[in-house]
Amino acid sequence: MRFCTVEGVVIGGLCACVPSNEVDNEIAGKGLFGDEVKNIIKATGIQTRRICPPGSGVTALDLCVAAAKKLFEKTPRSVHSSRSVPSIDEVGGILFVTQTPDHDIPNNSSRAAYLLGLSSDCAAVDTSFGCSGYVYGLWLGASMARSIEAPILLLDGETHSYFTSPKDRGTSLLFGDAGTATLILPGGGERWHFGFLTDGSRHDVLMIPEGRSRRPFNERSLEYKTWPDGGVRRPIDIYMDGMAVFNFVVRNVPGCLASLMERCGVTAEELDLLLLHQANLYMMKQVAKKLKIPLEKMPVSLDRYGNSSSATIPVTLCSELQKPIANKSFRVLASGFGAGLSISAVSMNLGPCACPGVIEYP
Amino acid sequence: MTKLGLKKPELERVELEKLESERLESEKTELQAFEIEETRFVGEIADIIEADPQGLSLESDFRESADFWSSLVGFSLLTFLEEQCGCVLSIDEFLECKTVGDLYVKARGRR
Repeated sequence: MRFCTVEGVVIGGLCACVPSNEVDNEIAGKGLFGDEVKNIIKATGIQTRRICPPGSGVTALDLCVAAAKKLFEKTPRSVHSSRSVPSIDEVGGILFVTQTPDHDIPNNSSRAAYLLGLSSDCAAVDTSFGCSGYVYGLWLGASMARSIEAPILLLDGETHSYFTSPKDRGTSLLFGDAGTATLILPGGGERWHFGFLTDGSRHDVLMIPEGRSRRPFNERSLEYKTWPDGGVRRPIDIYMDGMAVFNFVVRNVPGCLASLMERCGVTAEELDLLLLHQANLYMMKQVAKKLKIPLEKMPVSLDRYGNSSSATIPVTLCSELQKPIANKSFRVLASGFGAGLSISAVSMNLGPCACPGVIEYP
Repeated sequence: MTKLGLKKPELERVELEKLESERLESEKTELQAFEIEETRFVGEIADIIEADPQGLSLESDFRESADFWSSLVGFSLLTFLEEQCGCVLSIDEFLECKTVGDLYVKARGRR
């Protein structure tokens, strides 16, 4: 695992936005799984999900911009936090984490900067990450904030529902859509300790096989077909070998997190929150148990929002901790893991900061 | 009958065999054989299958006792046996096991 530290940054606020369209997995999965759907829901922990209605044209950019606008609304400090949110004019850079951008060209961050009314004197960067993306976003955003010496707006959102087959047993009931905004401020004496692990040899266990340079979009890209794993998907839909990902996670994540905790001198008892990527409830519990961290310290939101890939950590913070993080500081260990394959983790203090919670779109 | 028209035991075999190949590909954890006391063993199994530890004993059918059974739970048991008990079971051996005691015997016998 590669370790590093960024010093002198703090979270100024965060907000999440989900589509108002809710899908009940028990209904959605009845046709594909029959009565087995209840067992699937119990295993994954996902009861309902928020997804953009097919054909609605709503994108991760829309959700993230809505979240950011809400975050910058002038609201009484007593409502959201003791820490005020700077004016949007003060933002010096924007970082967009997504694997479902509006277009290949141009990037999302430039468009988001315009839609939010940022000064043209700002840096705009897109980065492509899956489930480990939010922590990578914190690292890159923190580094940008220290370099530019101005607030950085981290937007992290996905609309994987557009690339998920309703006929695929491995993925059809997993993914939700969400957009989030996190404001990273330079200053203060806080140290964020990061750890990263990457295994590109397993790139094919969680991927979209077609539609980009390696296998360009073609006349058959929209056709459903039965794949060797038994799943029925279009080549542009997400494929996930759930067993392989589970194996990677349970064998590597606990050790990586334990190493990071040891390196920055934090014990399980001292931690207030274990913020895990919301992929699968059983898997999350196994990771927490291996670390001997009580499940009460592990907030869960995937039962209502599903797996929104890199956005699950900020969605969980906004849905489960909106009021607490507005008023006090928490010692947090956060980790994302998945496509790549990759693991990211951060040990940091979070709060008090502005948090308008989870809003709906439209 | 369930996924791909397979009966449940056959399905469990298919999924676990897939995991077995995953396991072989993974970098093997250095196996550390050590004595694991019976009560702790039952407690660890209860944790993995998310069952009430008070209601679980060596005589309990671990699949029936599980809060829910899936190949992920089965794989977690195999990982626990390997990492904590130094016992690498084949899929056939695992499928033969029915009770917590069966797993315990395998775990002790393999060291």
